[in-house]
This record gives sequence, C-alpha cells and structure tokens, in this order.
Amino acid sequence: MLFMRVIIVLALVFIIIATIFIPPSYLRLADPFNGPMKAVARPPPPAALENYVLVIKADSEREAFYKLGYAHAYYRFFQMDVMRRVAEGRLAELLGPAALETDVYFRSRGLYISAAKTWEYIKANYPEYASLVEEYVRGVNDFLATNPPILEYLILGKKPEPWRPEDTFAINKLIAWSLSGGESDLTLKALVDRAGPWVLEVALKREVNTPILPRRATFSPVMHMLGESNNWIISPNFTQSGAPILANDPHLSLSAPPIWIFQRVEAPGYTVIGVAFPGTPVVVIGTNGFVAWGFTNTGVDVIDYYYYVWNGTKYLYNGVWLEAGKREEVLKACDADGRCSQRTLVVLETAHGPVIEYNGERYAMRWLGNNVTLEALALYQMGKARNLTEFLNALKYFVVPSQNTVYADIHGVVAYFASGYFPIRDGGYLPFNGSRGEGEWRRLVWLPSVLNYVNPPYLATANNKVADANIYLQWRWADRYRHDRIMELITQKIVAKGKVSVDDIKEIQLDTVDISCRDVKTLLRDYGGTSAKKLFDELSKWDCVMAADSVAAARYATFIYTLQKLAWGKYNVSLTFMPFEVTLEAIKRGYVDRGVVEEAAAEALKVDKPWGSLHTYDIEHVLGGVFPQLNYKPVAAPGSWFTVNVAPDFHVSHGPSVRFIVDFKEGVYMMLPGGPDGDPLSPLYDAMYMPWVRGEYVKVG
Amino acid sequence: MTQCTCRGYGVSMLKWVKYIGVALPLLGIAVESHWVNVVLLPFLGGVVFGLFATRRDLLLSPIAVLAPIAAVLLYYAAIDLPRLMRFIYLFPLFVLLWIVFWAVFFTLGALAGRLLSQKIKT
Repeated sequence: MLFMRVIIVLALVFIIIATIFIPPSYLRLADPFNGPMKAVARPPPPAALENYVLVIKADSEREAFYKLGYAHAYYRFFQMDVMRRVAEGRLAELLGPAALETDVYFRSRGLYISAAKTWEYIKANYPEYASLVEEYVRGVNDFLATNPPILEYLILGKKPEPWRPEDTFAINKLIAWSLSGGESDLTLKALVDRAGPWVLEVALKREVNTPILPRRATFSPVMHMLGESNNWIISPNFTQSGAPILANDPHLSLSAPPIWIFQRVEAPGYTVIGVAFPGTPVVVIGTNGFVAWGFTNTGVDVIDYYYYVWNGTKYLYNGVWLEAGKREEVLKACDADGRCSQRTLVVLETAHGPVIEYNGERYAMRWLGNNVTLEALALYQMGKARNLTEFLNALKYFVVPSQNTVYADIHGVVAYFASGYFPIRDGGYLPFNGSRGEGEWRRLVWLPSVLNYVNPPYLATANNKVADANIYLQWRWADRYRHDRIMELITQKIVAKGKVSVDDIKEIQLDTVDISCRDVKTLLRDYGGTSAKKLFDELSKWDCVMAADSVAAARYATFIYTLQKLAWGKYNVSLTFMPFEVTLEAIKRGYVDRGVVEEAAAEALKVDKPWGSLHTYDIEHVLGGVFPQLNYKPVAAPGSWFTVNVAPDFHVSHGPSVRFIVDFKEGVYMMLPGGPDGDPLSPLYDAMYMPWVRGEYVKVG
Repeated sequence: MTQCTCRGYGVSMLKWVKYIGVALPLLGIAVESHWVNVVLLPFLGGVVFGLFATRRDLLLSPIAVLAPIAAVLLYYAAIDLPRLMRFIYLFPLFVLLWIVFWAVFFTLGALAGRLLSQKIKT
C-alpha cells in the first residue's frame, strides 16, 4: 500500500514537472488532433491540377481571379505568407528570432511602403484591375476562413493571417528587388578601396562580352521623358513548324515548393497559360495563344547609394542642412513556444530614400522600384494582348526590374525589348556624394524605345550585355558563355537541318557544354606552370561537357572555383560577385598575380571524383534547416556556372526555375523543378523534381 | 478476473467503464489545447482505467493505450491513407513523441486510478 502511494505521489509530481518543463512546442508536435498530424485531414482541392497545371475555368474574369486566389492559397499559402513576410520585414513573427536580420534588411528598405502606395494608386486609377485584385484577395481569405490544416503552421504553432492586396504587391516588390542588383555599388566600392582603381578599369570595359543587340545603342540627351536566365526566339523562317518559337528558362532560387506555379486561366476575354508567383494572380511568363513572352534579367542598374556629411540626424544636401525623416519600425519575433519579443528600429529617410548601414557606414538608397510601379498591370495586359502593338502598350507599364523581353506571336512576328525604365544620371556603379548633389536622376528613359529588335532571324539573351551604349547601363553583365553557346547551337542546327524543332530547343535548354573551357585552356597555356600544363593536356582531351559522371568536369569546376577564390577571396567579396571574364582580363593584364593559375591548376588536379559527387541539387524548404525531410532529395547535378542548363556552385540552389517553350503550331511545353502542390504531404509535392532533373517536359497546351 | 467489489455494478459493466477510460483521450478531437490532448486526457483516461482495473490490467495499461492510438490512426487512414503514410514517413519523431506521451501519462493515470480504487475498497 505504501509502495502504491509512493508511486502515485511520484506520478503526480512527474505530471506537474512535465507540465512545467515540457516545452509547449513538444506538446504541440505530439498532439494528434491539433498538432501537425491534423494536416492529414486536408479538404479536397478547389481546382484541378491537370498535368501539373493549375486549371481555372470561370465565366468571368472576376470569378477567375477569385478562384485563382482560393487555389493559390490551397496549394501554396505558406509559401505566399513567407514571401510577403520577407518583403514586409515580418518574417521573425512566423519563423522566430533567427529571421530578425532579414526583417531589419527589408523593413529598413521600405518595400512594403511602396507596395501600399502602388495599391492605393491602382485603386484610384485602375479600378477595374483593382477589383480583380480584390477578388483574388477574397479568394485567398475565403480559403483561410475554412480554417485549413496547413502543415507548416501546425508545426510552428501559428495561425495564418488574412491576405491583403498590399501583400500581393509586396511580393511583386520583393521579386523586383531581388533582380535589381542589391548592394553591388557598395560592394564594388569596398573592392576598389581594398584592391585599387584597376578593378574599375577592368570591370567597366568588358569588350569581350557579347551584346544581345548587334548595334550600338544611343541614348539621346533630348529623349522624351517618361515618368540570370536564358531566353530566345526563332523566327518562323527557321522553324520546322513554320511558326515562331519562344523559349525561356529563368534562373532563380530553387526552392521546395518551386517559386512558380504553372497555371491556365480560361475566362471570357482572358485566357492565358504560364507561370505566376503564388500570391500574385497574373502570369509572368506565358502565352495566350496569340502572343507569347518570356523574360531574363537585364540587370541594368536602377539602384543608387548616396553618402553625406552627417551631424546627428541632420545631413548636408546641396549645401543645406536638412533633418532626416524618421520612420519607427517595430519588429516582432516569436519563438517556437509562442514567446514574442519586440525591437524598435528607427529608419532615417533622406531626399534620396531610406538610410541603410553597410560596413558600418550610412548610405541612402534610391531604388526605382521604391515608387508606384505597375508591373502587375503590365503583365495582366500582356495576357490580353493580341498583337505586338497591344503587347507594347502593356509593356509601357512595366518599370522594374528591367527584363530582356522576348516576344513571339501567332502572326509570325518575333521581337526583343529591354523592358523597364532607366534613370539617366552620371555614373551609378559607385555610391555618390549626396552632400555635393552628385548622381541626381535627371529623367527616366523607357528602355524599349532604345533597346529593341523586331523580327531578328533568331536572338538569345542570357543576362549578357544588352548593347554597347553611350551611357552606363550596368557592369555586372553575365559572362557571355551561355548566350554564345545558345546562338552557336541554333546556328549549328539551322546549318545542319535548315529548320529548328521543339526537340532541338529542348536539347539546347538542357545543354551542359561549358564553352568557357576555350578561354581557360588559353589561360592555362599562357600563364601556367607544370600543373597548369598537366591540366591543359587533360582538358584538351575533354569535350567540355559538364557531365555528372565526368572527373575532368570536376577538375575543371574546381579550377574555376579556386581561381575565383584566389583572385577575389582576399578582398572579402563573394566569389560570384566578379564575372569570370573580369578575372581573366585581370590576370592577363597582371592585376591579379598570374601565379593563381598554377595554384588553381594544382588544386584541380587533386580532384579524382566525378562531378556529380561534388555537385548536387540542394533544394530546400523554408523549414528544411530543422526538418530536412521537407527538402527535395539531393541528387547529382550536371552543368556549371556557364552552361545553358545552368547549375552554379557545388550545392546547387539556383537554376532553371521553369523550362518553358512555345511553338504556336506544336504547342506549349514546360517543366518545374518541383511539384505544383506546396503541401509536403501531397504526392505532388515533388512530382516534377526528378523529371526536371532528367530533362523531361510535359505538354501543357 | 475483475472482482466485483463495487456495490451495485456487475462485472461486465465495470469492464465497460474501464474501456471508457481507454477511449477518453479521443475526446481531444474536440479540444484545442495541446496540454489537454497530450497530458490531461490520457492521464484522466488512465485514472478511469486504473479505477476499474485489476492488477494484471494495470500491467497492461501501456499496451491498452495502443487502442486509442490505433483509433486515431484509423480515423486519419479513413480520411486519407496515403497522406497519413507520408506523414509517418516524414515525421516519425512526431508520431513517436505522441505515442510516448500518451503511453506515459495513461500509465501514470492508471497507477493513480488503481491506488484510488484501493483506497475506496479500504
């Protein structure tokens, strides 16, 4: 009896201790009814996924947008929420204190403010489009009102917050920001400070880079004022079907689920198929059966930084002391057990924009996107365009980020435009002295008015130089290799067969020949020693294919990586900050010690494993750091930094975010690097991942 | 087996009451609180089980708790078996944590219930 009493007392003590000391998150994770297991009981889908494509059929555009909102939320709400929170600097509320730095970064830059202004402007000036956005938002919120069991929220112990139209525009701003160059000016300044002015000399004049446009672009001083990927077009004269072909594989972050959702919307007056960012209703890259369009980033420089003479919160601007505006931001972080803390961030605002800190120094940031910009409206109208004129009318609304826009239509027209606007000023690659009034934007140029090419026989873009121009556009053009390889392959196919087919295009998108090997062989021959000679001999027998089973490819990639590291690592910049062409030029001119060639070659020769054992796709879920089972399975990756089928770095988390091909007679083909459904418990969560790895396509239209 | 020492109840009725204890954690389906679902209900279920359990039943209490666990799994399997299988495949630790918590608190409850029943008898 005594024994039993002791037992019961111990049991009660244990219960009390357990209640106090078991973290609430453990209880949540173990709860079979209101914990993550509840996500098993998911309601049936509101709209079908046919061939991995979200299909929305509606009797009106308003109904279509409502259904899109509902379906986007059903399939991808957690991803939508993460994206809006990143843009608005509210991620730590969801993911905990680890995300606070991200919040400080984005909250100080004020993307959410310009998103809200954009929404207000659209409501006031484009009420019809605003009503469609409202329908989309209503669809999202109606889904949330069903209290759906979304796995990630059940794990985190959080509840989804309602969607607002501003959130949709915040995602647009986030995408635009991520393609606008970030802090390149500041990084370049730091590099020049450490390495010397030769960096500018080598980096700014990159004559070796192939321009997309064959002619020099001239930006006239009296021009009227207005307010990494691959794509290509082939005119009907050179296609097997006799219709133009448009291909696009935008290189963005690879994530689980993919950054895109592939959708087909069928409504009277609005039928469009293509990829959209979950959280935003409009197709970004797609076709409506009349016109097709695709994008790669031009990277033209639309961000400037300004430094000033400061006196407390006063700054000297054009000889006058001005008091900086103050924006108080309250940042909230909530941990896994629901404990929240707050932090106040004071952001100063100058005449140029919000003040950020970089390497301990204050700079004001002026970004073209931190205004009312109407890209969403442009994309909506592109989806309704029936010909080039209508398409161009839509393109006028597209401000930022500037895109290499390829166009093809059912009438047989193909065209290229560098879309977006560009601020005319003197320079722009380094921070300006704002106190002296340097770097003021004089006017904005609508880029398609200067950078265009209608009906080229064929044309490719791969983030390389848009054109040689009489003004500074940007300096970090991607190396020419992907562009040149695409053009080389199209030419070869036309020479061999006279015409190009959809299968040829697929082959080009999947090409893994790295033609930088030609430059590297020259470098090894001219500037190397014994190891370089040995590597040169080996590479001379190699076909430059970055195959996963190739040891030569592994050695080649190791050489490139080591060379970049030796050349730039000591200056404390990211290895990918400086284009490889610049590295080659700096070595040739002797600005970078030529001994790095021998050193990198010796390092490369130590590698005796196939490329695929060093080089894998590592595609992660937002919670993948804690729950790696949510990530896609790492598999050997072919390709490299410079192949058309791009796969940069050793752990590849950036690459073709969709492969998309339109032939107006043959059909529409695509493949996404993951599944259409963002729910990790869905059998479609990673359904397209391995087909994407293998280079397969699905016909979707 | 079960000695009917409780006035006015038959053996079969007591057995039935014992099974109510086993089913008690399933009430969590209507409860929001994780603590109630993971700690309190299994414990109370154990208490009810222990009140009407024999000494041998008591030894079986960690196994008896498998009955409501199986019921929960059957419930989810009936809704969507492939999703349940995928959940177990992706999050075996969550499932394990749940089973361990229920087993521990149910068993502790059963011990307490048993002691209580002895007290009532005396």
